[in-house]
Amino acid sequence: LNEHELIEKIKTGDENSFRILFEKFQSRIYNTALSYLQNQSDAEDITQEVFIEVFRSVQSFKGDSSVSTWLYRITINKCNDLWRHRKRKKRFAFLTSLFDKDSGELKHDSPHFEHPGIQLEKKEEAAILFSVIDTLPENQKTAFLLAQVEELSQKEIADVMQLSVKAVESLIQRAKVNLREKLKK
Amino acid sequence: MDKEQKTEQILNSLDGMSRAEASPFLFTRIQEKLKQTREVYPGVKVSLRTVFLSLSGLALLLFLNLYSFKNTGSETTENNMQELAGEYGLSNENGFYY
Repeated sequence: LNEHELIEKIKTGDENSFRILFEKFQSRIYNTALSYLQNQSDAEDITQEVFIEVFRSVQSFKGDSSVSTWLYRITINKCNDLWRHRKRKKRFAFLTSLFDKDSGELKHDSPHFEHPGIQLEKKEEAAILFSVIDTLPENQKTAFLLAQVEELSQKEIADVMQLSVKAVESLIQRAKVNLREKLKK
Repeated sequence: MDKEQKTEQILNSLDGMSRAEASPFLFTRIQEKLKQTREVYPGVKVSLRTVFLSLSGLALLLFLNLYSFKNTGSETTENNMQELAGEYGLSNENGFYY
């Protein structure tokens, strides 16, 4: 079954096809969310939400884009929403309690992220890179991660982000320049 | 190692990374969540035939209502009024009506 046939089967209520779609795409969705949110539990929640959304809105999928583009788009939107929510929460941390009563640790700050798929000898550098990626503007971060982690082509990224290829090229370029500048400081 | 080299090393640290694995129970969690929200699979939805029959029935009912309303409108009201006036002795002939 190709992707579009799978979607048509899911539209008719075929539960097995829904499972096949999940098996086929869950790793891409989970890994995109993981590198974006830098938290395994959040990434699992997002993966779950993406598939629930797919299930609910499958009837409205017209097939104008590829299934993977559609799934990546839902994932990125959900990650952006959560990321914005987290940033707001961090800002309000100053108004609420900054430190955890029991452990004394900063409540709203995420600990250093270590991606489980990184080679052992690169773990330290990757942790630094992920923390700097997290400071990039939303669009630059999305384009950079889809290119670097998911290894999507600029055309595919343009489809996911609904931008022109030229705009994506510029976003990736600016992201790299920004990362270099921040790392040199 | 100078700063430039270190920066490049950090920037290239994602090269060759492998995919992380999600929990093996993720699909079960999704199924459970869908059950909780009382979702039905799209195919179990009401059939088009049922929708068509319901809508046709509703349209027919509406048409019959409008039809009977139009045909029994002012004439019946006038007759009823005259009957009532007659019963109470309020007719045009004795000059008390109007």
